[in-house]
Amino acid sequence: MTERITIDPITRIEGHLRIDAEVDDGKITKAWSSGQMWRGIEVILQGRDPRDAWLFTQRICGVCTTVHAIASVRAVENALQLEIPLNAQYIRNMVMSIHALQDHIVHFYVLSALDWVDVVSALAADPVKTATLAASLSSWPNNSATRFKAVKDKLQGIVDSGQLGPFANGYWGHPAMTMPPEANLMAVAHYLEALDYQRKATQALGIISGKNPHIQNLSVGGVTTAINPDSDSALNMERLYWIKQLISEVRGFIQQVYLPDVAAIGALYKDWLPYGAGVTNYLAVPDMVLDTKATKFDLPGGTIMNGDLGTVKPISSFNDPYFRDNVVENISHAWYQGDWTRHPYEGETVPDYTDFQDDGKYTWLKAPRFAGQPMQVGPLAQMLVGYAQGHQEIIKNVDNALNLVSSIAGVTVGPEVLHSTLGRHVARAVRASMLADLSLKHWQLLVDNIGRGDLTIFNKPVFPKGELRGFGIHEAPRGALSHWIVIEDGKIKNYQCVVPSTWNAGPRDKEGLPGPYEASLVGNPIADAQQPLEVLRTIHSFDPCIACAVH
Amino acid sequence: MIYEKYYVWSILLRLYHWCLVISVVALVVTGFYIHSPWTLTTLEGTGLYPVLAMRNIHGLAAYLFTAAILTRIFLLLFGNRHERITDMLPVTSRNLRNMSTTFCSYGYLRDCHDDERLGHNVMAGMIYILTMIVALFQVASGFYLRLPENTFWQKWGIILFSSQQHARYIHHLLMWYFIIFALVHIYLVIWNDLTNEDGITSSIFTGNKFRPRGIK
Amino acid sequence: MSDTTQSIDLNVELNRRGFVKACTMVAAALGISEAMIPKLLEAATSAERPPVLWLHFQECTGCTETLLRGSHPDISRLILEIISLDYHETVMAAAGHQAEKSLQDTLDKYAGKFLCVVEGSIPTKDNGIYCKIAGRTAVDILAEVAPKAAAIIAIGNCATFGNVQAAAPNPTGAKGVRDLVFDTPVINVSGCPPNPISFLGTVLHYLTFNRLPVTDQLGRPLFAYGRRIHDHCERRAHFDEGRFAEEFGDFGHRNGYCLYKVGCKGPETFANCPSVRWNDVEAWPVSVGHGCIGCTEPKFWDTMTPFYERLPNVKIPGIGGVNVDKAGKTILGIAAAAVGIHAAVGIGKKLSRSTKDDKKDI
Ligand code: HEM
Ligand code: HEM
Ligand code: NFV
Ligand code: SF4
Ligand code: SF4
Ligand code: F3S
Ligand SMILES: [Mg+2]
Repeated sequence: MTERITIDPITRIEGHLRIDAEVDDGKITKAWSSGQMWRGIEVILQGRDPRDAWLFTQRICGVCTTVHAIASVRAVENALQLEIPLNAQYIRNMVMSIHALQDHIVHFYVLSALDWVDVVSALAADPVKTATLAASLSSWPNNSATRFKAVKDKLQGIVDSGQLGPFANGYWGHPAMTMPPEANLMAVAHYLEALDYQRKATQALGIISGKNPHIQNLSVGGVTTAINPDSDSALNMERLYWIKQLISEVRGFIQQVYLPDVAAIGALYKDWLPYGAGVTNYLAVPDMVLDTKATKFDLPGGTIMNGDLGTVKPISSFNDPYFRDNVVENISHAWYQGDWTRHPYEGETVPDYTDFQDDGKYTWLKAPRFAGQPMQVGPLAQMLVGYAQGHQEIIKNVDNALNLVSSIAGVTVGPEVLHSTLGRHVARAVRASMLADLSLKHWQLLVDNIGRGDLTIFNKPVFPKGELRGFGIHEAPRGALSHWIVIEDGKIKNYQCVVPSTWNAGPRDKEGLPGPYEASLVGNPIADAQQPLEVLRTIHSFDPCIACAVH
Repeated sequence: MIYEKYYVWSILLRLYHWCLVISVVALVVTGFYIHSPWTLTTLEGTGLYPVLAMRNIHGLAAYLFTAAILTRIFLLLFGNRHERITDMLPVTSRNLRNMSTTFCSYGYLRDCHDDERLGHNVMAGMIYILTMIVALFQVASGFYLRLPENTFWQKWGIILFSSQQHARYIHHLLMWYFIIFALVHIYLVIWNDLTNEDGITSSIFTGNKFRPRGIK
Repeated sequence: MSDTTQSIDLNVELNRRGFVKACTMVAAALGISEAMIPKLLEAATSAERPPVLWLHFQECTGCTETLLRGSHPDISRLILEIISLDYHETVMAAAGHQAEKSLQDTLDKYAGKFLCVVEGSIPTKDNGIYCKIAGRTAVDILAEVAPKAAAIIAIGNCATFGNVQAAAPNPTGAKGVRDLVFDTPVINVSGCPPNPISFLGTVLHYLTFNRLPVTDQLGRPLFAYGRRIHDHCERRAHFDEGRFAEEFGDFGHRNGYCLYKVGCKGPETFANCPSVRWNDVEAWPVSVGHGCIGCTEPKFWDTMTPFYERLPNVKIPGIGGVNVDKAGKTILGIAAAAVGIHAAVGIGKKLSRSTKDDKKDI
């Protein structure tokens, strides 16, 4: 018997997402992903000053704040073929990496942990045993029995008060919740601690970017963060060391709490490793730029087709035609006028709402395609693309994480398990750990460059008459982001954003090929159609951001 | 021909006019400066405070300007018969007739100079009334910018102009009205002086105009 | 190898001490006297936590994120000890029907008593189809929830003034809460996003005194939006002395000069940024060399742009945006040309007439 379920709203994500699924015999056989909100930012940008665009596009998302800002200035700079001073590249890299630390921590603990962690079960845990479990994973100094007891008492207090607040009506006691109480208590304690550490990351970001969410230190041509070691009104050594201190603290949390937690949950739910692969074409773009022309990077980009690491092809600069020429968007199933497949330079965004049609238009998201194929983007794509290209740091970090999973699970797992719901969590934690190291590296690169007496942060953009085209790429926390701009006589003529969550959460295309969310749900078990926890697990593993996906 | 001297512009009106001229010049110059300060003081500790000074001059001139405008509004209601609003707008048949004669004289259509009049021609009168209205908006937006926390100005500022930036924008735009008005106005004063015998230019200094004897 | 020894204190005594400190800071921010602190504490720790429903419409979740960055009180203290956050799509465990049940439960049980927070604007064009949750439009949801709320806090420029999606040509007819709700008190905590301090201050003020703080004409609380940025900016002395950064990265910019000439909108923006700063690290946009863009003001996407110029462009149909001074100079030029032609015609006439009857008597 086929049962149709609709989950609307999908919560613990950014934005307004509706998921529909057909369930047959306790398994999902077909799924639809539908974004429910549109603002028209691409339309609003037309006719405006290209220097302003980044402030507009940044408002596409306050969760991955910073990323549309960076992609936008890069798009305009690409159109002008403007070089960016080294200091500005390093500062942007620090913005990018520090923000990602916060975003990944929040995603794992606040947005997805409750899919795997039974908060109510934690009340049955023994704090001493919990401490023993935690000590077996890392030497994090806060993992004491006293602390776990305090968390347990606090939790008991909330449950006793009868006001469960955000925990009300959760999936406690669901048959798919199978972790022991001690693991649950440990995770709840780390959930609360994560709230403090994500804040530290935002503080580091604030020092360098003025504020966040929504940083205010970029400009087309560089950054506005003035550098002057001899001034109290610019980036000086006092502020730089403050940033370093905060990053180091966050790095400690990521490497000693977040990464081990993910490994432990992955291992304890090893029966879930076969689920959720979906689309196994992967796309990542290079980032953490090392030169003024953006041809050298600390993180690699490229594509993999059909889950075959042997097919890897690199994307190796901000001008790479392999990327530029292969991106299109299709709107056959999206609420826009027409039924076309177009390159973003020719794209348009004219709304045309029809309500939810299973076989027609059913979402505000466009369907991006690369060389005609749906692509999965995100930390997993980046890790796999790097792994396949022999990127030493990525191989080392991924292997370490897989070894940790193997040792807890008691079975040996290799990179093939990464094509899964849990694999996305593992890849994200690995990426967070690498970015924590990289943000310190770029801190050092910046300081060294300042030490050489270079204080340059900005190259002034000049807009010639006539038409220019450019694209800006950025590896955002949720994956490959690209902004496409057409400038005419110094004004924006067309602006299109092709966003990670659009790649992942997009609908079927003209050929009927489903997007990654839709494909990854197929085959997922559903224990109770009235409480579709499993759907949340797989969808959350992508880290959905629907404000990004539809903008 | 024998000319007779007529007293047309009261001392108050002449005072108002020259206060207006002085304040507008000061406001335009300082206004441009406020918009884009062209002095570059990279020398620290000079104590010159040019922006502060320019803003203070703007503020001072603004009070003079406001006083002048209020004075003129008083004269519109209670001034002598040439100064009143009824003499300046096309509301009587005489004024309507004057409008067409002025139009034809400014357009060089024929020799149609209206001798019957001592005050403004009605075309000028209408523009002067418009100028008063524009000036009131300039004053309102200016005070809204100047006293943003004052609840009276905040309330009326939002009603009339919405946010501060809207007000600043309108304030700046209206500046151009005064610049363009001044250009056309000074030209027409000179033009009138060249084409007519009434001594229009000196009238704004002395208050007197001249007419051939017998004509009123 | 940990670089940190810091821990969160869940010990009850210490917890309380930390909390008293947090309340003292909030009291200071609100300008409340020390004597009121016990009341603030009591309000914040009374047995039944006041229920809060947080609605998300056309937004980017930056306002929720801003709250994650708040530190006094921090987010866990806020939602676990001070309020009962019964509905908030970004943090709640339940989804789908279970989530909607949480909303209905609170609407039924606490009608007239709960606090409603709205994040995001409300699209009104085409029957509101541009934002739907659980099959209902934002317009419908607000119409159900607003009349039952004790008060509404509109958080962020989206919920207050429509924000970026309401920028021209406002394709979805996006509106702020106060454009649609008239019978329930609405307070506007504007900004994109607002400083968490401004939001938390408003909540705690309300919970403490059972009334909303005093506001300006746009409904923004005076304790956070009572002054223009420019009047509390640390670079103001440079402004007065005419010391400006002319370009990012130049001498003036590196030495903390005023950002007016690179487009700072501090002179026309009301907010507490220079006094309370951001992210607890003494930073704010001007401190990193970028002008204020006016993010707490209505319509700032249209009136404060181009962001790197002082004034918006004049919209002329068929031509588009034109710089104010360019427009002024053009009209001035036209007027000057007209004057010139008029004078030339006059002189021409005079010349031709004087040759005709050069013996005209005096
Ligand atoms: C003919 C009359 C006036 C002219 C031409 C004029 C012109 C200007 C201009 C061009 C600006 C700069 C706006 C910008 O940023 O681009 C300005 C600013 C200003 N004006 Fe006026 N103005 C006039 C009358 C007044 C009056 C009556 C007031 C009343 C108080 C006033 C108060 C101000 C204030 C407060 C500012 C802003 C100064 C600042 O922010 O530093 N103005 N004016
Ligand atoms: C050297 C420059 C100026 C001269 C010689 C001058 C002369 C005159 C004269 C002769 C009149 C009387 C016209 C008549 O009888 O119809 C007049 C009126 C007037 N002028 Fe000027 N003017 C000068 C500059 C300005 C400026 C810069 C402004 C303001 C922007 C101004 C504003 C006015 C106004 C508003 C009136 C109408 C007086 C009234 O309200 O009745 N003038 N001016
Ligand atoms: N998808 C997405 Fe973003 C990210 N990361 C944007 O580019 O979250 Ni709001
Ligand atoms: S006000 Fe700004 S930060 Fe808040 S939701 Fe709207 S766009 Fe996002
Ligand atoms: S930087 Fe901005 S707010 Fe500060 S003084 Fe200059 S113009 Fe004013
Ligand atoms: S842009 Fe916004 S954050 Fe403050 S400095 Fe200006 S109000
Ligand atoms: Mg797009």
